[in-house]
Amino acid sequence: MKAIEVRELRKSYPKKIPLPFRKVQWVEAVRGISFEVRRGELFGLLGPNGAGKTTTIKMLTTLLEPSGGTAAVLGHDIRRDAREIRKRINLVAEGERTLYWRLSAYENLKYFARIYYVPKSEEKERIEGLLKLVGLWERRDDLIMNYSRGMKQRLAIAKALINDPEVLFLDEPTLGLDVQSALFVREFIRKLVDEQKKTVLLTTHYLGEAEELCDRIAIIDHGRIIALDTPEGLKRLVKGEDAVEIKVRDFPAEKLEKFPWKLAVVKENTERGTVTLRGQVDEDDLPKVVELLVKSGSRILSVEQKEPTLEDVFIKLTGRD
Amino acid sequence: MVVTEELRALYGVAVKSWRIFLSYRLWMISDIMLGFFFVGQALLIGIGLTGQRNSPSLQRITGYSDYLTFAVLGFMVLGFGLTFLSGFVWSVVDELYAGTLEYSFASPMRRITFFLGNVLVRILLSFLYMAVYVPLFILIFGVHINPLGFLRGLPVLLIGTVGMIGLGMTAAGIVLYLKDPGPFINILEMLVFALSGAMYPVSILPKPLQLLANAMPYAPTSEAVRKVVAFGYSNALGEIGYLILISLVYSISGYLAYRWSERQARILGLKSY
Repeated sequence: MKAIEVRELRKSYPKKIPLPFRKVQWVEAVRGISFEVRRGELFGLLGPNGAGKTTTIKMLTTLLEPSGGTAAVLGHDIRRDAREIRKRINLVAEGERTLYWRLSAYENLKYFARIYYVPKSEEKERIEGLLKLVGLWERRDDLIMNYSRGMKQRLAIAKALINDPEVLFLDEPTLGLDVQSALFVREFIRKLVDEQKKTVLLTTHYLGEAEELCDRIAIIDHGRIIALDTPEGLKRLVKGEDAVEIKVRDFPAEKLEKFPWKLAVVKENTERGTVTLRGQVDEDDLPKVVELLVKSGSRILSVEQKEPTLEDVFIKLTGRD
Repeated sequence: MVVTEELRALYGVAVKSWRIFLSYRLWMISDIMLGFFFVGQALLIGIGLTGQRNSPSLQRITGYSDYLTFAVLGFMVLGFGLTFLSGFVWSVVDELYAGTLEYSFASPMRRITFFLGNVLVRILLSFLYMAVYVPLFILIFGVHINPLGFLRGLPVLLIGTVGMIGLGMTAAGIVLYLKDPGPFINILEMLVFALSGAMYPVSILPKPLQLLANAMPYAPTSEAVRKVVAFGYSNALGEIGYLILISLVYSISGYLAYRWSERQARILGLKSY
């Protein structure tokens, strides 16, 4: 049995709340996606903002009802067996205001232990273990409002482990974190899969994070899965194609859309006015790219050939950074 | 096992709600003061309108001559009744604004447990306030409350509670559906206050408002409680019968309305769903 099975899953939202006599337009956020996640796998949904990642997670965690298609988590249908699924999964939602700021870390976990039916005999031990695991035991009695963003996220992860879930859904778990906290969270997630054999479905728009963490990645864009493979498998899509990085000054980013090559802005230094562009460009085309950039008023600072990365796959498939 | 789990979840919600309430210490003081303002105002309105605290006209309409005693009983029913409306509605809105609703709704706990856990704290507070009010009202304002009559009114209040929970669930369902629930809640609370029969007998209202007041569970509860407290059960059978009927209707329609709204919220992607 697979941990997660998704078949032609769809979700549409109304632009306005439907009322009698109001004509409502519907927006399709997820357009018939299919994938499977094996038990003990770390599966990534990678895509830009608005690609349909969060909507997919909300459907799989039974918070949203699909408009079409089917999905099962641990063999249970997400429409029919919502409560059974909820007992065996947990979620880290996007954003920092997901915990009770006026309660302490300990009180927060106590609340979630109770609403997740953790037996009373195990409650104390489990909360202590989790707070120690995420390095917050010493600060257990502090109010969450006094925590840093990174500490809040660590507590959100501890909360997500309170019912010892078989499947964990993580929606942009490192979004807005400082480098150190993001590193802690990433290492922690990998350990959950390697040591505790948890199944993890993670959404991210950080390419490096997906490449570093995930066993398999589905690239999602405009509500559709446009590629699904291991990071190595995805990189094979651009094997043999040269990746070029061009660093320029005074580049008007809006002109990029008119370029006949799939180039994307991968780095921007507004203070220095420099931009780094990256994409697949044939050797023969390189002088034409440089010429066009110069004509657009930019100054070329450097041109380098690079090993293809997941970023190149993403740019090739979506045409965006 | 299932019942034990759900009761523990209920306890968990209530404890969380209680701790959050305690973290806003001034709320308790303002809540208690509200009761004194209400009774003080009732006293002044009564004296201002009739020139005295006892009104023959009120005696004729309701059987109570002391306007203050009449208003205090109404206030207690209203205060108790509003705990359900507020408990259901604000438990969604507060958590929605705080951003915490999603995590609670993603748990296996039943939704009704979440609502009742929040309401439980408000009921506890309501009883706590009553324990403060009753002796002080008797002491300060000389309100005439017969303790035995007061206890007689409690079962009737419980019947009304069923209808009030139903109305609370309906309101919570509407709140889920609305984009900005604030104005709706304000209007509903004002309407409930005006039509509850707490400060004046419903029979003095214009006919359409009387109909509206009697169509909500508050005024029928106030009237039935007052009649039972003053004249006993045998003289209030008509009021009690109507209260049972309206409570039944509200509890069924409230449950159905909430279920429908919750499903709509999941389909349409409203609020934190």
